[in-house]
Amino acid sequence: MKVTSIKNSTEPVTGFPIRLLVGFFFFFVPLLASSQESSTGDTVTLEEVKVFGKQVPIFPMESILMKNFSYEPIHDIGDFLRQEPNVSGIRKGGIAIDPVVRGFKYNQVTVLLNNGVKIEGGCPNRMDPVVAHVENEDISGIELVKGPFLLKYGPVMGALINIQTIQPEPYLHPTIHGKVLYGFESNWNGQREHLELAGGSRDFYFRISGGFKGYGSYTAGNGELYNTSFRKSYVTAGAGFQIKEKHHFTLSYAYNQGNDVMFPALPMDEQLDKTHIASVNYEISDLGKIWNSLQVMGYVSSVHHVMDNYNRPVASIMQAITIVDAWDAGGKVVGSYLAGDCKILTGLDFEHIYKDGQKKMTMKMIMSGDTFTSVKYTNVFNQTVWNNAGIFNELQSRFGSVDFSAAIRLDYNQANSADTFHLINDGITYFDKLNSDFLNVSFSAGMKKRLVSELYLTAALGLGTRSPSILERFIKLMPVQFDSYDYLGNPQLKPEQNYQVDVSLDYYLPEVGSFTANGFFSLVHNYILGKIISPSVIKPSTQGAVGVKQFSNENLVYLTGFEFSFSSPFQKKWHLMASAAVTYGTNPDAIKYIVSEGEVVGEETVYNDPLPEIPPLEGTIHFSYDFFRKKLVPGFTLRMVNAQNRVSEAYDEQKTPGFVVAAASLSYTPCSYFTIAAGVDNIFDNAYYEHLNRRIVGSLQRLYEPGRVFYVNLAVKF
Amino acid sequence: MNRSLTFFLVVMMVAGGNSCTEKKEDPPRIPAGNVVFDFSHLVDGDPLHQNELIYTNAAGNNYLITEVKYFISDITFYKSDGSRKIVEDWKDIFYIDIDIPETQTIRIFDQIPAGEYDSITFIFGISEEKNQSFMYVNPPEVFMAWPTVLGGGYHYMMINGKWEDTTRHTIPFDFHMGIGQLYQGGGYNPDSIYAFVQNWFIVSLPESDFTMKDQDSLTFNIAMNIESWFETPHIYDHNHWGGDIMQKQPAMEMARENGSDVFSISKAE
Repeated sequence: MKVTSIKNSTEPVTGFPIRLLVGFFFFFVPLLASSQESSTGDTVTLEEVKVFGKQVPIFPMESILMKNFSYEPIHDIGDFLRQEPNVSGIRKGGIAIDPVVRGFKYNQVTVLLNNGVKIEGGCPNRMDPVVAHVENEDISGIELVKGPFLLKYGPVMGALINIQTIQPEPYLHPTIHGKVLYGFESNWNGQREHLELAGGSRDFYFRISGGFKGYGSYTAGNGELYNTSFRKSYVTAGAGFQIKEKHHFTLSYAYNQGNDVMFPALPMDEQLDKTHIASVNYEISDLGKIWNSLQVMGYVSSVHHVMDNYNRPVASIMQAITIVDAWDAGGKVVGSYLAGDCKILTGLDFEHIYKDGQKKMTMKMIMSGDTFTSVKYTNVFNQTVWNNAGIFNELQSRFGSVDFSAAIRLDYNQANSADTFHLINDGITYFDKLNSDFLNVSFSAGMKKRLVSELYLTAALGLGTRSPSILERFIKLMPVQFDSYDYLGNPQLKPEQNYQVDVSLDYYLPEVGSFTANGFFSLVHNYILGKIISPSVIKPSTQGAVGVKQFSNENLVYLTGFEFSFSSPFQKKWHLMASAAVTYGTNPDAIKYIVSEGEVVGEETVYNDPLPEIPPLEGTIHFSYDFFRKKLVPGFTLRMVNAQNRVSEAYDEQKTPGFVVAAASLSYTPCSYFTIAAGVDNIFDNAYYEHLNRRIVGSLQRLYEPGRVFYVNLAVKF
Repeated sequence: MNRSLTFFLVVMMVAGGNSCTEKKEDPPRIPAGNVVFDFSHLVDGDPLHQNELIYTNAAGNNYLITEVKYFISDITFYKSDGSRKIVEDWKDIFYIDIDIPETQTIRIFDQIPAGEYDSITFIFGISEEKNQSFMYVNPPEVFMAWPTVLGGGYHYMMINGKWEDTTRHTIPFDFHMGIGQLYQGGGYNPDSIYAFVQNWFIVSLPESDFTMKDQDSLTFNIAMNIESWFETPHIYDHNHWGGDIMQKQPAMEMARENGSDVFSISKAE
């Protein structure tokens, strides 16, 4: 058995040498200048036209353009998304922060790529949530919908995160573009390097990219070093064809690999994670007078995930390694047409997930001078299958001064497993009948009305139904939640249903800026939570786990909250953005287990217990100013987070103190080909942790956020 | 639009029809009380003094004790009417360790029905059905693991200490009990094991009758009389068996037979 040394170094983990980057720079810069001249030879450059105003969406959604954040020190999409109001994340290590939107988390948040490509993470502990399988350098934008309103991409229960990767695009004339990016972060000596090349013509176009990220362990503001190092490497390739006028065919492939990704807040570390994503997309536009467009797309993604505890002290007692393979394949057909004044989108989609994994535990015992080794293999997932087929219709229309949108979706969901594990004790069935299927209904409706001048009222209602995930149905004894319990799946779980109401006011003053205030209320039926199973029925199999919980349906819980945001007019040289948001979650009847001297001695009901893992009130202010026609842009960000004292008593959740962190940045773009940006995050080196940060394994101490980080990013484009 | 909205609301209400709160009827309450066991460890009637070479067993071995740790399971209360209550609602296996005070008190989660009880029994060790390898992964229980090749599961008991051999040298002994092995030929090569022997046994506590009243909380003191492991009915001689016995089934069998009267019980005042 191989035991590697603990990786807690702050040494940079470098990928391809920096000199390659430097060489690229000196070799290509002269070419850049010449390419500038030649490209202007066959391109008509128009004067920039700016149209100012505000597009008010019917549903609570935000579109994030990644080019606005190109020079920020982003190394993880989950971390980046925490900038959005009412979006937080569960931190377990240096990367792979799992997004939480308005208190909805894990599979309650649908995360997909390019309007339909889905990935099933391999890790039961969510070391690799969907956002961890794609790099921010390859993303053009993120669509964030807070609620079960947009149903055309698949079942959505709590929120939707639709990540748009950069796709190959046609060019009027044969051309080629490139981009090189290098970033460095102090504290954990992190480096990221990215190369991309795109080009083609009107009929054939392509894009390829690749990169590397290597980070060491970071030091928090309290001076403590956390073992959070990781290495990631990735490549993407895409090609597009215009078969004939308005017929576009695109092929995409992406490979992403994580190595030695450390998770101090989980019982294991990621030894290896290999992800393949391939998709094909065919789109026809302007079909005729009635049918407007048709899209056919298909995809397949696979994840090979290996994690172990070889770098943990407990490995001296027992070593554990888990290997999981997950496949996700699917597709959809979508058409849009006009029916009178109504635009109707109709389609069907399908998703198939296969997951299989095994845990190997090895115990060495030295007795009477002899060494004995015992080995046990257990199935984490045993050839589990999850299928979902859906049909949907979306209608958009305008009735007088009211914009109206409605959608309905029907899903048939089925899951099964080849498990030989069954658990029936004292007449109670815990894990037995493995097959389950559901017919789910989801729908939404929203309206937008201009009240006066630039004041808009929007309101939306929705029901989002989510079938239990493979993990919730079939996981066997892994610590997959925030508490220190091993979790057992429940094949007979019922779907969660989220009934949500959103009301929003948007006001835009051209000289002042835009204001948005939004409130929501969610009533969740069959909310999935863990309930303790007694150790006489089943015992934990993970070191550090204090017991076993099984996923089960709570009758009702509710969440409510608001978001407020302000942004200054785009045309101004100064830019001010401010936001505040909070979510409250409540479980009307939560069960609390009474523990005395480490033993459960009884249980009681806690009425109106706060839901666990709900972030507190927070606000952010960002200010920047454009000097020299945006060539020099300094920025300053202040984030204020309230203490979270509203914690679950039933879950023995710990309170979190509030904190304030500040960041400053400066970007300089002397010409359109080159940008350098530098800055400092956590200027005052504050010691703090977010409420959703997990505890360090084997202790009550929370995983702190990084301390002060200086960064510099260089980008060359042509 | 009004018609669409009306339709939407109707569908929503229909779909949400199953969201009504399901009222659970509380089952009728059965009169019952709680039981707590406090464990103590004695030698010759006095509390054990660890690491002191002050004891002499029936074979005349001078000895000291460093560690005592063991499992008991399936605690059973026998009623006068012949019915019984097995402790299993929360835990059914209990670990006791003289170095971990909290393990020496067992607060039974199960409610013990009111009534007259004849006796209390428990399994010393863990039954074959329940003694599965890797069922404990956390300290301290994980340190009780018994090698798979020697039968698997967990030690029933570890009493570690030292004794003075015939040359007056102090030699360590591991008086361990678990699943025994039968070896073909001489020696203890695991490859020659042809059968395993379950050495767990039932301890019936003498004079353990009691009356449980509704909402009563009773505390019993259970004492392990350590010297009894080495006497009655067999005289156990460390000089004969040596330091390690986990591969010596005859020694473990002797311990098993000596163990039936090791425990005594008294009701706390």
